[in-house]
Amino acid sequence: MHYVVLERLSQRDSVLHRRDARAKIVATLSLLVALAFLPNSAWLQFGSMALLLMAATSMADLPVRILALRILVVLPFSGLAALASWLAGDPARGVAILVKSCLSVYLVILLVATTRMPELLQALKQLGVPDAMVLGLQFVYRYLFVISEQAQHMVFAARSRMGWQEGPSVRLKPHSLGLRTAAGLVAVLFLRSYERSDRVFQAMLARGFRPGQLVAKPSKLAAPDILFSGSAVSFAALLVAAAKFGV
Amino acid sequence: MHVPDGILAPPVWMGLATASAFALGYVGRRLRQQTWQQNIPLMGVMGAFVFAAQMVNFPILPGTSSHLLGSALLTLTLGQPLASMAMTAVLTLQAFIFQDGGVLALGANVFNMAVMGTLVAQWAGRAFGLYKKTWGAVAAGWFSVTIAGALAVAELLASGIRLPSWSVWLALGALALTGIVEGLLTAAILALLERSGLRKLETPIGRQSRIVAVTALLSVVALTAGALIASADPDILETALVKTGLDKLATTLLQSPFGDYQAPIAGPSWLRQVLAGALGIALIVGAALLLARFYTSRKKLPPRCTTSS
Repeated sequence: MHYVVLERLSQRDSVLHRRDARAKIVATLSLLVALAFLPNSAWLQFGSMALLLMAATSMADLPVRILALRILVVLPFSGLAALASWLAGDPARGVAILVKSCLSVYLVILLVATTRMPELLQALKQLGVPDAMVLGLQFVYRYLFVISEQAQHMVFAARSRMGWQEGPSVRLKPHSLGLRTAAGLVAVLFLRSYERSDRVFQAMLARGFRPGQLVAKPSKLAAPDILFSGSAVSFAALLVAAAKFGV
Repeated sequence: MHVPDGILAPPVWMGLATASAFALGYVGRRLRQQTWQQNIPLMGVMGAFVFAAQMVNFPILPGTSSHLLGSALLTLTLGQPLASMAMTAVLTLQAFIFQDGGVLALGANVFNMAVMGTLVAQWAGRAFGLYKKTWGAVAAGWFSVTIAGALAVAELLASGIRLPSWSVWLALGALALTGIVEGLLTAAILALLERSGLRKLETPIGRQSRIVAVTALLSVVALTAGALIASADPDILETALVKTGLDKLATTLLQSPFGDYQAPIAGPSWLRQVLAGALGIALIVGAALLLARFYTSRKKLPPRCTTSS
């Protein structure tokens, strides 16, 4: 599955991978906020942000092609919004929407591609996100793959039962699911997930579950982490200040 | 419908993030009164289910396919509080892992889909008959999708993005169509679930009266329409305000305590704006915290349950 790619990238090792997850979250958020506050015509600021992110990509030794493809996922929404804005006679804002949303997604991709999921969740917890929410996120992430795989198996089974249909091209094309089949499939998936959650809870109790347990150990901030987030925050502040004073 | 970063104006995403945080805090308190430990695996696994269900595509019109969005189904089966938490977890993971929706815009997306989407589904399910009745499920699905999408469009417009009016109508029409598919699918799934005899799915809609549900639903629809009209064309709002004499009230309310968002201190104007903005956010957060404290102090929390029933 396509999102496993980022997960695999986060297992690598580099200067950025080794930074504490909290430092990376703070850095990402401050740069995102700076982007949000930049005016639409701040080309110099957009350019320096892009350069910084490219430098970070090469520092983290991430594959450029995969990241570029991932950035394109914003296009369905931002592209339409930009196009509509352009058609309404505001082309400058249309371009700014595209640039800002691509840079924002790039930032988030860098965060996720350099941070392992347990560390990210632990950092959210340490940053004050409530236990119940962090645990919920952890559960969704853990069972995401299990249940998605189950769904794929069910779709595959439904298709094989329905047989194959002559497509418009020479190649044989599988029947697509109808609404009724899809509803039945989702209903069965619902029941299976519901029952699974019951079994999971029983298993958790049997193993002595206490709320507040997370997989990763609480991390400690080291000097390089503080330096890293500090410089990111000051860079963000510098960008906004420069735009305010008309540079 | 997942709004990415870089589109919404800062006041819009900040305000909606505050609103969502407050709503979720309240929901969390309500959940904690029940056996919340059991709810965590349920919320997590059902959140994962929403992800998986969104992978089941089926064609609606030639060339286009659709999938379940899930807010309404979760609301009618798990109840609004749990559905709201599960959808929030789904949206958060989508923002981080799939880059589907922005991180700063997460508050707005949570507000549209996890807060309003589930609330509206609950009210519609109640107003159009209980979830056992097909119409309640169809209405819940339709309203949850349409209102959430219309709110997203209103947020774009409120952020100062100019959209041609035909594109707004096109978006609303597409949303209404998606809503019909969502409603039909939700109804079909619920009918199948009921036939399966899952006993735990007892009226999670609650004991709320039908009049309250209808009123709430109507006011949300009116507010959404009002937000769309006001943000598409501020002049309409202005003339309406002047006609009713509300404009003077609004001016006085807005100008105090910080007229034109400027804190009463000396310094360059941008600094004053930043300070006033920060103070405003602090005030909002403080008010939200106070309200949350009020809610928690009013009801005594029962001891946490550690066994499943």
